[in-house]
Amino acid sequence: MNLRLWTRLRGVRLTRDGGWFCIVLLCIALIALNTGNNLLYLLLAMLLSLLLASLLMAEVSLRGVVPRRQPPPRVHAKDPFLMGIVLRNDKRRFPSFSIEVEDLCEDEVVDKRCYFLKIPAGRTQQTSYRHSLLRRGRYVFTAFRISTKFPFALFRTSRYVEHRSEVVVYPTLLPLSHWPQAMTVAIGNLSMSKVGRRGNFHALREYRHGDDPRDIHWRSSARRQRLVVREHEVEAVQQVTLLVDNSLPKELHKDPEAQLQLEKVISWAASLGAFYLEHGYALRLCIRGTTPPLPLLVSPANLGRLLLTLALLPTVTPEVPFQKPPPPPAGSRIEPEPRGHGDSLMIVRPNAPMPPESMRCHIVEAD
Amino acid sequence: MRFAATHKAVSYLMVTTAFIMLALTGELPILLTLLTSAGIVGSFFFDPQNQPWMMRRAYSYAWWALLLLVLGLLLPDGIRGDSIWEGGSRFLCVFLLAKLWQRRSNSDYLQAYVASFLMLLSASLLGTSMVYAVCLLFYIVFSTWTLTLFHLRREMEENYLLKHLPGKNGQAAESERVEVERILNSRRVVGTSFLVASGLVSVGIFLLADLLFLLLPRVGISLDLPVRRKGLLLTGFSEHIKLGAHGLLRENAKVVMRVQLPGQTLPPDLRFRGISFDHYEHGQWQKTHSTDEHREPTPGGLYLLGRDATVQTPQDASVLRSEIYLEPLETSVLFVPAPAKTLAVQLPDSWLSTSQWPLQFGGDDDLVAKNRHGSLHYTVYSQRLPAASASGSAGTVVAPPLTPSERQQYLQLPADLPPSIGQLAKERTQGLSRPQDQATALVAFLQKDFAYTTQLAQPKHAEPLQDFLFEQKKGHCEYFATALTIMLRRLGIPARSINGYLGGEWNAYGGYLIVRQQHAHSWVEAYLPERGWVTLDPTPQAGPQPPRTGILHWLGQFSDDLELTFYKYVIEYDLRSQLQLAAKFRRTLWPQPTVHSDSPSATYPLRRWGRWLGFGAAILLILLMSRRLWRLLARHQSVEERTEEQAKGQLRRALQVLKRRGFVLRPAETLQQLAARVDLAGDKSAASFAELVQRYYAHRFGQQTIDLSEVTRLTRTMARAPRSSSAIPVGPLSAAPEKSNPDGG
Repeated sequence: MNLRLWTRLRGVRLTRDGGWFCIVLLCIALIALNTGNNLLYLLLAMLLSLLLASLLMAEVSLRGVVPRRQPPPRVHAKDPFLMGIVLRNDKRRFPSFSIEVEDLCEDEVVDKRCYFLKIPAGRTQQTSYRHSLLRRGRYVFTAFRISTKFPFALFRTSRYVEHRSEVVVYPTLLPLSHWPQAMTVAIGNLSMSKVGRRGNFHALREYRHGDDPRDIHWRSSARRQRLVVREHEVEAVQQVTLLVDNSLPKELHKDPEAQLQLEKVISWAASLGAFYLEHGYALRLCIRGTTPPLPLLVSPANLGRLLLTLALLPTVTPEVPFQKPPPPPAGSRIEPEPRGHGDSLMIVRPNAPMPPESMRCHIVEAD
Repeated sequence: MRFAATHKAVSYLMVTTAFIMLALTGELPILLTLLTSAGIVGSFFFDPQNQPWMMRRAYSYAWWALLLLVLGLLLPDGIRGDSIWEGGSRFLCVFLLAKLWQRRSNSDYLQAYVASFLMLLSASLLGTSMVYAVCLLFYIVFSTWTLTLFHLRREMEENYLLKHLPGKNGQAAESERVEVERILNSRRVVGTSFLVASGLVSVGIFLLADLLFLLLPRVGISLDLPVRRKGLLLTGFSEHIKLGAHGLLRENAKVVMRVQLPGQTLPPDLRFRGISFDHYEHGQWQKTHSTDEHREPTPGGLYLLGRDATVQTPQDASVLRSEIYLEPLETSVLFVPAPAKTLAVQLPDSWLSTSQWPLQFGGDDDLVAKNRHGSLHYTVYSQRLPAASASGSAGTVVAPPLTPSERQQYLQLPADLPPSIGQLAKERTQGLSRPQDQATALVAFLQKDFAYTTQLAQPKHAEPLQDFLFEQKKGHCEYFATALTIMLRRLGIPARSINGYLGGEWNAYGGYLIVRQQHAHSWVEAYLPERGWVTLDPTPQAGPQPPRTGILHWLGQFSDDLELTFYKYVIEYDLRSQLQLAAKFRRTLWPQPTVHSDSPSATYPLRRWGRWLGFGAAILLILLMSRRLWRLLARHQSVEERTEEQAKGQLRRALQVLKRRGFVLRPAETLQQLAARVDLAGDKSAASFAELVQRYYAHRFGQQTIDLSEVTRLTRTMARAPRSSSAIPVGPLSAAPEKSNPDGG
């Protein structure tokens, strides 16, 4: 833990009202010492006691308070999201009043405060703050700073609570209305042994409650004297390969404009991937790197894996080769279609290099 | 309790307490006090938020104009040199009213609190009563409540409480502002337990304040602050008085001073000499002989009277030591016991500079402390004189022979004094040659042949004495003293009239004498050869007063003793008192071993105290271990388990309520089935119970957080629901009966 951060975040600080209070206290002290008026001494003693009581009650209010984080399921760069904050009061008898919770991201305080007016003893309360993270990647929320000005707003008493959470920020999803329609004339349509509603006949089976009555095979049902339904294979899906060139020359690694351009490209790749997956395409991601490639993504449920990979995509040098394409899924077969165009390949990279000759493709370049 | 209503109530308690503290100093005019009181009470019932006319700008401007007007009226007094605090206190009253009648925002409340604190400050400077300490305790309690609630309210309004509405996939969509009014009207924020707990904290604050009060260093500097406390106006103690007023104080019970006689019995016929008068003219006494003699005190602050006077040791029975606690008075006269020879006067240590607090000897053996503010405590050492004789002479004060000018001064007579007065004096002293005998005869004559009364008719003659001696033959002490003084002077005996106090009211509870205005008295001092100044009291003595009894009398004495105690241990607490307290504390903890003691505990005091300390530490350890043991033995519950138990408890209560309404949970019947049965029966508690069951199920099986307060509310709603007479408990739900085919098919 950062010691400097610790000392900066923990402690007692005078508020503006507290400053005025101390000035008044000093004035009364001077007058009392000057005049020897014992009633003024009594008043001075009362003010000092209030000061001490304020510190004590603030400590009691902060004691036993445990904050926790509830991040949303998906966070995209530059998009505002709600970070849930749950505050629990473990004290048996005393409630906590006027608690402020600040989150720390990468050891920096997020400039959003969550305020809890009252947390009864043994209870939990929840709120959230809106935040946005500008860049994709992995963010570590390290701790909380809980503070209170209870009871008299003379001091702000703070406490530092460690709680580590990792949040992966996905690339921004861009609206595809601006993107020219991909000409996805597929040649390698992929079909899989997966049961679906349309597609080639797969098998007959007994009717089960909930099956579509339109799938009932009447002839077989009459023969067998019980309801039988048809099962179909999943339609042959079109496959799209997203080739994302995540390289920059070494001298441009620190160049902010080049970085910005690369981020934009990755955002486009994520947007395309989301589009194709949602429209039932099978998607293959091809990036530079030595890590094993992602398997073929065939459903919208796999979007998260795609986004995660793109979120953590590092910037490499051009010498790093592209990943080898993964093998097709087990049980699948490629049905070549005489279209002569090969797989659809989206190269998401400005001025992208030509793909290998073996990969017959239709190239659409990103802006 | 609704948050906003509670905040308003405690705010008013706080400012009202401060105003009461200021009003009790007596510095505010009666009219202003009444108007401010009415204004505070009235503003409580008028909420500016609900009155459109109070929200207009013209209304605010009117208040500002009033404040400026008041400031303009009071400022010249301050510039002229009158007490700033008095004028400031009056302005504060008007300012407080302005803020209370314009309670629109938090800043108005805050300004009202500041005004109340300034009132508290003014009360500290302008008053010394014990009531201040009592009110201070209440102020601490109320201010703790008020400032805490004010802080919560301000935080609430300034933190822009927002409710974020979740968008798609957790993305933030819209946010709406939470209605602060709803929270202000909520009963959940503060309750009785909150007020009780914070009240206890305030008591702790008060006790801590007392401790700090004792510990704060008194450096002994006492420079003058331009605060002039209004003192009690005493009739008869200025340098020019008119005959008649001093004796009419019989009904005035205001306390002038309190006198402690430590370790001594109350002498009979104790009186307190104040001021003497030497020049008489047509019913008016005047003090013409006034000096500003100034003497240096001894290092201990003791002013010795007489060139060769020495103070006897306190054990000397002839020395009377009187601790006199004088109330704030408008006169600078100091009162000393009489008849006695005043040997020395001791003033408080805080009077460092005699130029600021001079003790003067104002001629005629009078003591004067000019430029004195507020209460005063001084010690008088005086030598007792023999007991009074039957003739009424109450001892002698030995003094050096009178100089011719002094003799002339004390034999002064008005030029147009009626000769009948002189003739009367000669008649009554016919055949007596010795001045002492003559004085005795005149005293006896006045005591026997004249009656005491305070009801005097309008005098017919220009010389009131003529009326008294020849017409009415009755009057009060001033007339008697004046008559005796004039007649003695007519006979050539130097005499002077003395104003002071005779006796007092013994406070058996506190063991001291209370001297009130009603004890004011006049008597005579006559200079007799070889005896000096002799005290003579010609006023007929009233019979012994019946002792006062009753609970009111006892309460009065008790409260007066508290007042004196407050003055001694709070108002008078100075550096010397602090050092004495520290020494006493040290002696208590580490007593000095006596020479002849062989006891080890006397020789080694720490050994004795060590036993006590060890015993105390052992008890503390046992208590701590017990707490730990108890927590180990008791089933340790996590927060979730406690919540679970509480939720089950609420459900059990709800089932009890239903049982009383005729719905019993059957074996193998689920709660939902029971809820449906209750609903079918048309019972009014069905909806609440159904919701309660739903919440319980969501918590128990759905792992959702349960709001216990909501569950409690639902249970209460069920209990309060009216019973429907038509509701008939039905049996458990069963499957729909199969329709029987009447045709048998």
